[in-house]
Amino acid sequence: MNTIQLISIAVFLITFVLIVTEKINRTVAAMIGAMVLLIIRIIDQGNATEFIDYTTVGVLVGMMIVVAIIKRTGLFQYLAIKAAKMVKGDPMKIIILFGIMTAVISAFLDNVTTILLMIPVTLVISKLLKLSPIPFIMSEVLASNIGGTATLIGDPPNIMIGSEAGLGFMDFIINLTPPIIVILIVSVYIIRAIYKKELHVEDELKRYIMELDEKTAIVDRKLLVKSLTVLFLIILGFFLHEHLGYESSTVALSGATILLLISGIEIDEILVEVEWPTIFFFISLFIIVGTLEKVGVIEMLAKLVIEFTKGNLIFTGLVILWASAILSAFLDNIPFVATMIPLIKGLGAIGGINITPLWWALSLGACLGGNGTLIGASANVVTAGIMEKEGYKITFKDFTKIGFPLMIISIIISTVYLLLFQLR
Amino acid sequence: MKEINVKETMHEMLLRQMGANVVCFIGKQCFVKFNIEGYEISYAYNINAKEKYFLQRVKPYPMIAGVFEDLKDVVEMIEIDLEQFKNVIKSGKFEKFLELNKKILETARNLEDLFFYYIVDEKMFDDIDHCIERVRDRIKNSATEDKRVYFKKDPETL
Repeated sequence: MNTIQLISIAVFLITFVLIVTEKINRTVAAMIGAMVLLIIRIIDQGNATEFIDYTTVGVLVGMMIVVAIIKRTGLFQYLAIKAAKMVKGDPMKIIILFGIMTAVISAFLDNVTTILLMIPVTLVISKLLKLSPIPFIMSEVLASNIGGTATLIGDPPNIMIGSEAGLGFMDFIINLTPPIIVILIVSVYIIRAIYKKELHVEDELKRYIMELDEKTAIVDRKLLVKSLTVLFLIILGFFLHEHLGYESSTVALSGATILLLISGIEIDEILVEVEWPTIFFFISLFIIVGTLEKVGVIEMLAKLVIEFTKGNLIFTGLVILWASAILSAFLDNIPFVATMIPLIKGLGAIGGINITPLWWALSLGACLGGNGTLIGASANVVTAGIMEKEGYKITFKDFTKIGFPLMIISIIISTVYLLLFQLR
Repeated sequence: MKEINVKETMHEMLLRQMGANVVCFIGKQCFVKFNIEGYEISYAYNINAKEKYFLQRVKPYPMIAGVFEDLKDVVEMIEIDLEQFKNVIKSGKFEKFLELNKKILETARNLEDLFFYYIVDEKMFDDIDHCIERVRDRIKNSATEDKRVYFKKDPETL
């Protein structure tokens, strides 16, 4: 190993430690790492620009703009009230329905955004039912991480995998949606069974839910029609992007541009809602991991993995699935996946094995692993923070008691799925 | 920011269910504080892209100072208000004025509680109205031109 490789590894590890320990903001930590590599001239500006995956950045920015506009319509509140009324305010059914609803929304929107859309309406409904919101919120946050795994755009690791591995929206739908549906149904029913005793209310209280008027939730009908039309076109675009020869980012950004044009909302008001810290976090990580790849560290790691697994596809796939899940339960899955992508590519190049099943193993492990602990996924951390401010504390222990066994169950289901349908 | 958005959505939902029309816009809340000879004079106003600025005096006693279409009017309003407070403080009668003002504000609250929590007969209405009119007349009659000390802006209610 040469000096440049050693320095690159040191920068990567220090950045990783700073991100994990949360001593400083994760975006600032990643930016420091990327800037150090540029300042000490391990890479130059040209390299740094090359390393940035513009497809991932484009999908993230595009979808953030679309969501910032759609949420102004009140659509998600409308759907939640409608769902609660559909089951006549019965909390035993609301917990299932809200879980499934969160997962479906999360398959198309960012998990954190989805959970931020669901929390307010859940708090209001649980307040009316005089119940603790925690069972509903737990069901939603766990479901958001599960639902996000189902599609190319549901979770940032999938966007990165899709972009780097050249996998399209339909590839994710065909290969990941079926096992995710099974995992989701099993999970929401287990969550309901866990909280069963806390979900009984008098019929009198259910009446309050029936008195809610879902129509008042719709703030701007014209904007709703425009937004739904564009959202339909975006989803259609995702289904067809490979066929039409467009990147997924082109679809997302085109949709965002059209919506910005026809919504008439001031662009400043929308762009301020784009989560720029997340975008800069990605850009910086791409630079750091890109450097490791350029200086040959990733190739070295790939060789070590090949030696360890002897190039056995089943063994490699299961190691990736379980290691990703366990590590993602404690670490941020974005830098982890960013590191794993070139490594898996390297396995394909050096070992000559079919790496497509490994992408699915990585996606299932990294996305579902986030349910393992409170710090496993951004959605969990954000939810706990907001709930604490609302007077409901979800501790690391509380979350892990429910999340970790559920995560293990979901990874067992994934293992069975991979063994039966992918790792053959 | 995320917490604020969640709170806003939650409260907006509750208010809409109560039949309200809620409009929220992105802006900045500004607090302005002066210390004039030991007295705190403070204001709160918001800045937003919709060009509606709500100015409120917070201390020494709360009062809505108005809705302005231009930010420079807000600054001008604060400037005048502050000058007038300085004059009153210099006059040596500020404490008495504050006491009086406090009583008037408390009286308004008492009146509200009376009508919100009790049955009030017609005669009571007339009696209170009569008393208030007397106080207002007394104030108006004292505001004669020869006693006026501030000329940058005309009084709004006298």
